[in-house]
Amino acid sequence: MRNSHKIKILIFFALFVIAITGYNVFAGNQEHKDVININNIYKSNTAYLSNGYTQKETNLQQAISLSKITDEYKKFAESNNLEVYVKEDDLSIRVLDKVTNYVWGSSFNTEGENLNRVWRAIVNSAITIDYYDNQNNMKSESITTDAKSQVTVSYFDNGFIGNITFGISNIQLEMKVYLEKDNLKVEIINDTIEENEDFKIGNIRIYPFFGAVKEDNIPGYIFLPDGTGALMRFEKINKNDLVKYKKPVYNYDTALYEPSKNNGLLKDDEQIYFPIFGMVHGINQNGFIASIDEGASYAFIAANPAGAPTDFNYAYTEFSYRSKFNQPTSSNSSIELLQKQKNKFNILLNYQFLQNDDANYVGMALKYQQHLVSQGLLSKNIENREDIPMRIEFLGLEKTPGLFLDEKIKMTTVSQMSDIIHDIRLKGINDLAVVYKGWSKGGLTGSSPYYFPIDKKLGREENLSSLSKELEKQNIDFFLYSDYIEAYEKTKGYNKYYDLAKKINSQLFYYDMFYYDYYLLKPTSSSKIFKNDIKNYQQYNINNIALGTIGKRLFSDYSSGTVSREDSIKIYQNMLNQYNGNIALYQANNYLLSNLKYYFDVPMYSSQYQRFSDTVPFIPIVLNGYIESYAPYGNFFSDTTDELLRMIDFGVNPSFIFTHESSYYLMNTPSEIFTSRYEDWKDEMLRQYNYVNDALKFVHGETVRSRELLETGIVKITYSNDVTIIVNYSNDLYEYNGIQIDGKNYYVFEKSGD
Amino acid sequence: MKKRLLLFVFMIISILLISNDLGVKANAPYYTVTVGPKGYLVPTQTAYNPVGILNHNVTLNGPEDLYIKNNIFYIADSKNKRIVVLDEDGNLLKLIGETILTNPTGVFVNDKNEIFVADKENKVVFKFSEEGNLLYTYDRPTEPIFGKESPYVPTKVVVDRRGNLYIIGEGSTSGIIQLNYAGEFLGYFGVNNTSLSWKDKLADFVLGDKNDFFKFPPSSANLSIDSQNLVYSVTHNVFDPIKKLNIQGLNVLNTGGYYPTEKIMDISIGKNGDIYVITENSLIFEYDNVGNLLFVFGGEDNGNHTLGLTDNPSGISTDDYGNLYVLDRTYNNIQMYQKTEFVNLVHQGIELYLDGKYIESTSIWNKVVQMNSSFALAHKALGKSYYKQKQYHKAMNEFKIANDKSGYSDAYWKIRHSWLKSNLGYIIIGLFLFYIIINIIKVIDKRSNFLYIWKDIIAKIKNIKIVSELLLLFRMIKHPLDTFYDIKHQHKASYSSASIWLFILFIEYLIYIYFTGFIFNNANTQNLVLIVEVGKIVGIFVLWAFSNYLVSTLSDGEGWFKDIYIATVYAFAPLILGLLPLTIVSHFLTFNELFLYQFVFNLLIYWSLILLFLMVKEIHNYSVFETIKNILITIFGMIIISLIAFIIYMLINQLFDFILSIIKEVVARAKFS
Repeated sequence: MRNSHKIKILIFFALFVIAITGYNVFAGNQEHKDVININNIYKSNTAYLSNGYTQKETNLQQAISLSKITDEYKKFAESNNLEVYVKEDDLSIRVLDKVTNYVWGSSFNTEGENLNRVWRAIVNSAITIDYYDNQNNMKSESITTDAKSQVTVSYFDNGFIGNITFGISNIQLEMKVYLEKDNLKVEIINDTIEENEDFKIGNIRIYPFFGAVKEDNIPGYIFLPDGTGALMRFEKINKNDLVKYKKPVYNYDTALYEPSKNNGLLKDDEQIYFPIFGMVHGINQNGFIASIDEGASYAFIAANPAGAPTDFNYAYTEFSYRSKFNQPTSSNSSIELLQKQKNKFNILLNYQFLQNDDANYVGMALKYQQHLVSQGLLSKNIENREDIPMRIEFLGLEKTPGLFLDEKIKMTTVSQMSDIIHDIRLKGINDLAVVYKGWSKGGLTGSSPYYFPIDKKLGREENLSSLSKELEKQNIDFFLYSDYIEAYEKTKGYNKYYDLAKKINSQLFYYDMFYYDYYLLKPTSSSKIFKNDIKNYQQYNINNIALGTIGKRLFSDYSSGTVSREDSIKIYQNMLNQYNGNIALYQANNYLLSNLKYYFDVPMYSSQYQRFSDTVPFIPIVLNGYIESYAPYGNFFSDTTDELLRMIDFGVNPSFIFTHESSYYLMNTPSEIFTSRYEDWKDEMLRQYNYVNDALKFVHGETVRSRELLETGIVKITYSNDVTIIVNYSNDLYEYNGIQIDGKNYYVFEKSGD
Repeated sequence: MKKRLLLFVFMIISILLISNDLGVKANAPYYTVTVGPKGYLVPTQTAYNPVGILNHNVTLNGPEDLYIKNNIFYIADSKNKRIVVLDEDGNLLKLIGETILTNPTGVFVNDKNEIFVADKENKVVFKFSEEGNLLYTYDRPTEPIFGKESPYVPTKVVVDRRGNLYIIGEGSTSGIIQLNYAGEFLGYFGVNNTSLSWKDKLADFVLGDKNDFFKFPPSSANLSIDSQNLVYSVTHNVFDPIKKLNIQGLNVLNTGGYYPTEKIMDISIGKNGDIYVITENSLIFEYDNVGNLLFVFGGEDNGNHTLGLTDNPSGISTDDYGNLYVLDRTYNNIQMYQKTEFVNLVHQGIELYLDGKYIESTSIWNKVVQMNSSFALAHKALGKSYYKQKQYHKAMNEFKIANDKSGYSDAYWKIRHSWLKSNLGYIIIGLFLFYIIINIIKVIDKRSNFLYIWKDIIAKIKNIKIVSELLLLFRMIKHPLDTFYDIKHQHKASYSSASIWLFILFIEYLIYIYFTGFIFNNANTQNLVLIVEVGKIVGIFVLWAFSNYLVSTLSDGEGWFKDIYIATVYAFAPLILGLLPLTIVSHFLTFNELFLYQFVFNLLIYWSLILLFLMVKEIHNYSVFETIKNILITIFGMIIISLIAFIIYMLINQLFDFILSIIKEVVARAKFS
């Protein structure tokens, strides 16, 4: 009786369940290949007037120098192009450019100018220092600030040594100024700086008003190496925008100062990759470029527009010997301390002068290119190709946290990657640089510095090595991506007690990224771990590696003794020198260029502060003809046409990141990739590649000779093989030499000169 | 409120993840985010690119409002006491009201190009002709219903097609002041509700201080009007800060809770009905006409004057092409943001989508999904399109990605319906056969007893101690009182059996969270931490048992800790037995059966709670009144125990921190000085 009752309930329940049963089949996403017409975009050329683009030169007036060579100045050096004079009591200098007869001065007659006593001292003195007194208060002093200051000058062949004792702080230092060929050099050796009990050196500013220009009296600009390069044209005082520019070369040394994290949706500002700045007085008339050959990692580059706070535009470098830092004493309190030891580095500033047609940012870039070559930091590393190369990256694996275990998200296996490469080659693109990212167990984010072996889900060692061999035969560079600077908390391959770098306040470099927390490795440990991995790469038949982070991250390490930023540079240089294969970096500071085969993610913009007037392709021009450079991924462009034109304008090769699976699966991972499936992208990739290739294949491996704006939004670039490309960013038709160039298009003039 | 909090949390998460830069670098100094699957904000292509400053030739001073009509720019240049009119290249066309205005804070232009200016200091609204001649002054309404005490300090103004003025006044808590063309008071419009947060309520309750100031509804901060004559208002500190007001003054906008958390400074309606707002911290939100959040971007300038960032935005407006302009009252400029190809595509899709042309919009949305696989609105639109084309499986898939539960439910209903229609016959036949077979087996068994081996084995298993202890749970359903007696006096259950059931409940709970059907699953599995979940279930059970034991020993309870612990777990028999089947069944239900699902779920919970009540009564042998008292004190005890544990934890932490900081400071001072 009871049994049958139970069965009835069971049956009822079963009926209920079955009655509403269905089944779900989740069909895959459908492919659609519709072409969308984009027609109602605002047809305005306003954008090309903004500081995201280069502006047309409108003021071609003759520059008349502010500085004069008076009787107080004594000639102490001469070369083919230059004569240099010094005034012995404040060490201010005059440089006479014999080619153009233009006088560059580090000071000018301050009579009648709107400058107070302090500012006059700064203008006239070769050096202004910041020092700390007993109470750790920072104060400034120039050579002529106090009458007690002593300057003794001793001359040597083509140069002088100025021995300076500052009147108030009694700090002593020796400054050496000399000519070497046509290069004017300023040198301060670390050992010559003498501090005393009461006063400690803070910063040194060298010739801050060298080439200063009052408002817009002289047409021209300051060149700043912000991001890809920026110009600050000399303008009248604009009361609404009196902001100074001052940025550390190679970004802040986070061991000493950690800038507060940007909140909201802000991106990080661009950094300074090359330690240089320059000035042009009169377009295509006079210019100089100053490079910091020693001490760059403790240098700031500063530029003040007219009105901030003087009536003059001026630019200079500042070197930081000592700064204050925060010493946390508990989780919510800290004390401010001053660095006990000063940073150890020598200063070597190198001024090169530009005349006539070279006196512009292209001339600066070419001059700096040669300078890097002579320093041994840059060499021709470009293969002869019919077409331009394209970078294709593949994402293998990414991880996302799960309740019990991390979930691995497989995006592209080795064989899928192989198929896609095959498909791309079938489309006729053979010049490829292929990068495989996220190939180890930890996935893309969270692996470093522990990489080997390859994750089994993606393939086996032999799959990877045979693919690498096969691609090598076809002359395709196959890179594995890795990073030896960041050490994720949840990975292996390093020792938490011996391998992690520390800040000056004995704290670890610790970055809290929720699940993906990471530290920074000691430079020496990075080098050690990398060295151990070299034989692993060989075992995998990998001859090319792409390294993240190392290119642009530079910090000092206080974990055991002091490893300064200058020391770190040497360690990183040696680390990369150990490797015999090819290396590609994701953005690189100047000191790593010599190790480089490819420069990935070349910066295409500056920080676009409103005080900038232009963005100029300085880094691309320096790299062109020497190192192949690649743009950021083409997947994420919002205005594709503008970006492609920019790539053609700058001479930068296209890049993409692909996956076999839909990027939808990366939703809950730290990868910010939101579109990457090859199926979705193959046609668009081909279109973009052909569009860029049809222009740049004519100038592959060549250097830029000139770049000028014909009209707003219309750029003419001439290369060393006489090929000229005209890029028309604007929406309007442009006619040049009888050729009509459509809006948002380009035209290549082969060999015809103009 | 909860959703807003979620938004905030999501923002933080996605932003931090974004900061692990993978090369999505472009022109703009900010990231752009949109709504992705599960309601997360996800990165997307730049929506609007900053392209420069409009007012190169004109100096503004503390401008408060911007209005664009036919690509002519009208700026309330407040501290210069004038209205500045610019063309689209930023050239000065004319200045208006230079001798009349004292603090113009709002400007509006009607179809006849007449200019309305709200002047905060003159406390009037002026109407100027196109040429700048003063036509009319809208003074304080004289009608008695306006109220003698009501303030009239116009700060912003819009005018509808009939000529009615909508005025936001400082301190006008009764709503937007509505005047007709002749300045007669028509009434207040779109009153904000007073909303007291629980904090305020608690403060009121505790302090007994009826602070009336907070009881007034907040007055709106800004307003706008669209081509359909609908008025939009923004208000700070209310549940729905952005309102689209219908003729009755009621809000018809549903953003699904995606509101800015910061104060909104201005609102503007684009030509296609898109809604743009800008917040105090310079974030720009774009919604479509019905309130779907499309994009969030922008950010506060950090003093570097970066192109595209603003410091103190006071106005936002769009031109006829759909480009954005933001007015900054500190930097005294108007920044222009040009819409990108991607946004253009999205706008085209939305236009078709809102017209109900789902199928026509398919190709556009497919392109959008190709460009951003996480764009939720695109998936939703694709889902609707597939649904219309009767491709229900595909529709379900898209709705699932878009987190559109009702769409998913509709599509699933269709699938289930057709499945049942074709298979119902088989099911009934199958069940019938099953029933007959069972009965045949029974009959045979009765005669020959051929199943005796099995019955023996089952009986043996049932006799194993732990099995019988576990099986006691099933008796709870029918005979709860007897079972509590068995637990207490017969010891028919043990610590281990109770712990096993508790463990099973925990597993069921996890399954419930992870595997409940999509329609009924509201859990956010991303941020689950195992130890926290264990704490939630096991911790609360143990804490309850412990607290109850402590309380009842003091109030003549008869139960021991063991009895309480076991009986508590067993009291949850309905939930333990019902949760798993419910989770399974949830996969086969649609929103039409929502009631059924919720009813069963609540039934399981309340049944368990009633059993818990009975448990306390039986185990401790209490009267009903004593039981209630005991339970209340137990809950109080649980709170106190948690509090004490927390305080002790904090104190130890503080002490540790204190000692550590002294040591660290001494070491640091010794090292560096």
